[in-house]
Amino acid sequence: MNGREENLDLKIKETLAAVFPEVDPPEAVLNAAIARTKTVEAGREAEQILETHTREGPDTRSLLAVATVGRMTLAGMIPGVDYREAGRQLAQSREFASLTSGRTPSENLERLRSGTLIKELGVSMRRNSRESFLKEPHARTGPSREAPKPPEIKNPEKDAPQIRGPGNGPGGLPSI
Amino acid sequence: MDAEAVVKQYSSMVYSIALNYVRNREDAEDVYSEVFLTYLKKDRDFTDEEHRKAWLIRVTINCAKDLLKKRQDYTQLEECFTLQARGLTEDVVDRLDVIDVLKQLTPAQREAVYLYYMKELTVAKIAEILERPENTVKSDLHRGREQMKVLLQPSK
Repeated sequence: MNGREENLDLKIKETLAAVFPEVDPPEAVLNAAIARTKTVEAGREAEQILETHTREGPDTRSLLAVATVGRMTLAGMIPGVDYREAGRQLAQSREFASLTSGRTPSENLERLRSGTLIKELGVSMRRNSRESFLKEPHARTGPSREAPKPPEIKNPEKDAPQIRGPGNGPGGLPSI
Repeated sequence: MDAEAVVKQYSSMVYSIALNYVRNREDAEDVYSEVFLTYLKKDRDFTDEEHRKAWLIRVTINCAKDLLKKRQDYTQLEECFTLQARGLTEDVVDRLDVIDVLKQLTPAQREAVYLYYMKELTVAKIAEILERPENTVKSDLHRGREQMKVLLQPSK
């Protein structure tokens, strides 16, 4: 390429730059993408640490919770979040405890990898509900906001004993 | 390079390409998120930065085209020129000339010109990204260059 052609290419580039300016995404969008990467990387790291765990330790559930949040983020089920806080909240939730207790760390890790654990946590919930679950763990300790209404009692004597009122059931995330 | 550094380094590039294809900010933001989520999912090794950059460009273009196809609104780069022209505040006449020239090119030629000049990719990389033969890309670039030359060279 000779000097004249190089000059032309430079001019073309400058001209096109006016039509196709480099645009930054909104800050919130960039921050969400960064948060997502952090969550996923933290989740992967937690999984790696869990691989070496053979017995239940004081931090096992927290690690598993962080790994779970990371997996859910990677699946696009939740946006990028503060994984430390989200993991802490999830680890403290009643649902998570009931789903993971009584199993070895490797069993729980396997259940996480196969998707079973996340399914059991309620993947069918709508996105907003999941977000609020991660943000408001204490609100989830009570009766589920997503809980289906009890069926109408047509025969009170026959049906009434089978119906559990809100708060009497297992609570937490609705099943799939 | 860790994922956060990758997001920061290629943030503008991915968003700009997405915006040029889908032509509105909301869709561009969706494409942007999808691209980096795909990047995280793949967790793959790249031979060098050029390889990573080309991969991100390809995924961005594919995501944008998929989104447009879903909406049966696939007009490639054509309308974005018009929309961008509405927002011009300076050098309006010059830019409109450029837009007119670009409109004389086929969408494929415009894509090649855009990636060559604005993303500084080689012909081989453009061919790989757009899944077209190198000679076709060369021919597209030649045509685009000739059109731009007419516009940019002072009239005698």
